[in-house]
Amino acid sequence: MNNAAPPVPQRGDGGHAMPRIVHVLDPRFPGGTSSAVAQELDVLSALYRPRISAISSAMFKGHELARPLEQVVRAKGVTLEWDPKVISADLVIVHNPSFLKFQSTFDARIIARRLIVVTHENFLRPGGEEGFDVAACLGMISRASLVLDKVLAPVSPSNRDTILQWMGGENARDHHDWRLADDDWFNICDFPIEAPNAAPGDRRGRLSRPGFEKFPALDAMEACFPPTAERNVILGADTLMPLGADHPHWQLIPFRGLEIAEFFRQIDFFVYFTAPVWQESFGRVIAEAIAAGKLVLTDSRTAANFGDSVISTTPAGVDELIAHFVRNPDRYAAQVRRGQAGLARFSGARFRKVFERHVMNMGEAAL
Amino acid sequence: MIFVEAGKDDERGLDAKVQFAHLLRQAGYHAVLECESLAEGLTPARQYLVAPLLADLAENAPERLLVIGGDGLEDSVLERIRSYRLRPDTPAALIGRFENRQAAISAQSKLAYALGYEPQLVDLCELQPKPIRAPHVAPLFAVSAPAPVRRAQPLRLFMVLPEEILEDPSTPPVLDTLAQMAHVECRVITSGHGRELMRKQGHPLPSAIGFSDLAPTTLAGMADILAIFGPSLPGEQMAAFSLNLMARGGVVIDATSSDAIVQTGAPVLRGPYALAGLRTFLENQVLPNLEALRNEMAGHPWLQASDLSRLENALGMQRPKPAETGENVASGTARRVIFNPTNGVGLGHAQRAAVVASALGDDIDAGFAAFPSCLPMLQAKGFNCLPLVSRSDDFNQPHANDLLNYLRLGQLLTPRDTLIFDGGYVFDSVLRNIVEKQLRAVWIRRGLWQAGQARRTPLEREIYFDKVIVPQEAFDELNIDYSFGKEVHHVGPVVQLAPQNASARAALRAGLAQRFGRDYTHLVVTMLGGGVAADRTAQMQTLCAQIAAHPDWLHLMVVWPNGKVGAPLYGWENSFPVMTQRALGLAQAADVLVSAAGYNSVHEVLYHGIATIFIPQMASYMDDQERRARALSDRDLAVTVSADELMALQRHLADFLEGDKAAEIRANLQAQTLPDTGTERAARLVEEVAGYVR
Repeated sequence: MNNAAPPVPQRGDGGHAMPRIVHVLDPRFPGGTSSAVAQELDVLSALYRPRISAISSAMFKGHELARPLEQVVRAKGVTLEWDPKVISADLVIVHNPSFLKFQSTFDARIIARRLIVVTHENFLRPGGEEGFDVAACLGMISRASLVLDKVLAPVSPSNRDTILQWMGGENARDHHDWRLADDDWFNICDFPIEAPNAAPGDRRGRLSRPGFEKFPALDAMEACFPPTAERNVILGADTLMPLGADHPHWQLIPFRGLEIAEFFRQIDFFVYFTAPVWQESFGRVIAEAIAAGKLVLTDSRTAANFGDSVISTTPAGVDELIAHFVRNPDRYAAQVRRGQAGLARFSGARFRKVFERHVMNMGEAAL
Repeated sequence: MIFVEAGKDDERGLDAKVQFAHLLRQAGYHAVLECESLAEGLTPARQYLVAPLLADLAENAPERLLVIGGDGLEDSVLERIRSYRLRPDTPAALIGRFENRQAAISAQSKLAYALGYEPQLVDLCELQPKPIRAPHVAPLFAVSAPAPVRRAQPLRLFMVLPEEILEDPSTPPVLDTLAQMAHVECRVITSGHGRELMRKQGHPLPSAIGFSDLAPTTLAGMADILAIFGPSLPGEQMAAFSLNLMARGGVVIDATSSDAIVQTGAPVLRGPYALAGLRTFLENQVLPNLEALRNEMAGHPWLQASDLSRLENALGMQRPKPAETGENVASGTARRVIFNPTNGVGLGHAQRAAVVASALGDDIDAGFAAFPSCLPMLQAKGFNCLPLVSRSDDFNQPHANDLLNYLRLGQLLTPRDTLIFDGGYVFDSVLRNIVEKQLRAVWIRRGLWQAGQARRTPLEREIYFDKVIVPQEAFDELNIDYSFGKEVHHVGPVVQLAPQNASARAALRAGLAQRFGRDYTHLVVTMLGGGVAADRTAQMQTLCAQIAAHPDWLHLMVVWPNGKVGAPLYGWENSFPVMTQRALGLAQAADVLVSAAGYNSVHEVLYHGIATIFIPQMASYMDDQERRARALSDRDLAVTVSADELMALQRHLADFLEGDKAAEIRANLQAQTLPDTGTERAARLVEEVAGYVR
């Protein structure tokens, strides 16, 4: 465990003094959260020397430090302190409060002018059921905090909607002291941009962790990945393996069974639907696919986070759309490039501006 | 059709969903398990429990999905549920005991992802704060039922005994004293090892029942009093058994050293910790107060909290009205008497059962569940028959056919029926249907077992029958009592009586001459069993060769339905294999009968005066044909030759047909005093059990 480094005077782009900032998370978080935070720290390290207060949550007991975070900690000299008793800073940023969901206490004390909780997970699932015990997790953070300003920062418009809906519900009755950030704390998507295939074929694929929430019903999977397709590459198909015999046209590959770059090389269309009762809070994998030069087809809710960068459809509509773009490679390329242009909304440079807005107006929350 | 799943596919999960599905069945729901959800290698007992619950999803659209043990959902279960491809309008519920809100959210989310829509969540921590046992996978509820109407008088005491108690040398004498109690019938429930211990120790009680042998709902129907010993309640099945027994007005004695049930607030008696104290406790505390105890339990708040209706209400399930269930629809018909003869070597069991069935009153709807070999004979007598499945080496397990028969009998029988089993060993298919449907039941069990056959296990199953009818042998030295009790009834020989007068005999013989295209002076009929229990080819060939030397003799070889006839037997000029349902007529028409010495054959010979040479069949699973045949030949009422006495066989045949032996035998038979037949008495006993008062 590292000891906290003494705060060093740092300056933002505008030449103003940076406040003391601490990032709080369980850095063993697998998947999107750690990747997103790692990219943030990478970008923010140009502004200040980031500090992480790492919390050993019950949720990730026995897990290793997430590789993207390990890399950024090493590369950027990020300070990482495990399980501090007190987290004191001008601004404390807690990433993904759901890491507290399998425990009943948050053992550190947070003392800050502003506390921002980045809601990497949706508070509600489609249909209105809670994604996790939000009140319990926010309650633990609240009880551990002595702060002037408590902010919930959604990662996307759809994520924001779930927070707003939750805030209006019965379970939020003790949490009205949280305010919603004006700007989305979006995932930075500075992925290398690849050119689209000039002659796309009906080569489809999807990539996700193997959880059941990541997959639609089997009928929908069969519609998205039919035997008529030239290729159906399903990476992260661990729970679909037993169905392989009945679906010989599916190339089922377990999670991490193929390099992501190689996966994208094998497909032209990224067809991504999830369980109808679950939704990506941001959809990092979609941005990754767009950057890799793939045309993305997804459901309308997920598509909403990406505007015209993706094509919104239903599983039943996938075949026709793919046939259309295969017949019209120019339109395919135009759509992919449109999507890639749209990724500028999620650039590191834009994130820095958003971040500074979060930091700069802290004078209102004077200690 | 309600599909039941458990959160885990382990043994506990399987037992729990079987237990819960049986509970739902008791309430009238058509609860099933998806056949793909079963692991390989289930014990036979579990196979019987599971078999009636299985349904193939491909052929049955689920109306509802209930997932129990929802606090521990594993991926293999979720994968299977996803493969169900349920429509979003199919109600699905997750039932579990969730330690906090997050646990409930996590579990509900998992199932929602697999289903593609939201399931209902039922948290038993809220619905049933004080279950009879925790933790548990199967929801521990019971269907309230009125105190069972008992046909048998003894109170049925079940004792749950852990291995450590059975290992104690002081236990057998204590069990012995309990077994001697008047008006109390004792049974032990224990583990597999405990059962083995009891077998080795030669306990005076019947074989123990295993924890997972029968559904708790079935056990509750078999017991009046349950005493549980050991450190605690030994599992969910016993917890459910206790609960269901209480719900039926039975008495549960908590003799666990941890007061496991008492502490839940359940209306149970705090019993003695030591088994040695049970008899006194029963005599002083329980038996004199049975009625008061039952009254105390009726309407007890704890029992009400454990009533299945609470769960049904939470799930919005409407219990099917009795008229809507198959069983009750069937029960609207007249009470039926269903005969189930076992598949012996020949048709003996079926023949005897048919004799009794034919003697029942005309107002009784009698039918058969019988093996294929018996069906033509039974159908020719006018009985409706359900075909059963014969044992075959082609099946992958020895009891595979009995599993199927268990299901077939289960579909046929309703609680209003009376089952009459004729056979030596009561198959699980028969036993389980009796206890599960609480059938009235009669066991027709002829005697004359071979030495060493009188093992305890077959006889122990006697207690599940309302009456045991033992058709006597005609001669006293052949009648041995294997069991005792007021419900064991010895009746005279049950034998088919169809005497043939002279003109009928002449007509039949003339018909045979025409049928086989040859005039004859002597008719030989052989009924040697057709190679089912023993190969009789040599004896038949010997007879055929001898008879071939007499062109004016006719030899008919009666082949039983499962018999095998070797090709050489078809080559003789005046010997013919025949299959017939009129064997008794042929035997009476013959000048000599060469026969095996089964119960039916021998008694038909005796009661019809047929001159016979017996060649007893001997197989380990058969009755003692040798003794039966010798009883006749010792009295000069027949001749008996062993299978290997081929020359003696030829000599006797010549004596019968060319000498005056046949006439001498017939005269002796004519003069022999025989006991009255027991057919009518047997029929009246059956009617009595079936509830027909004459």
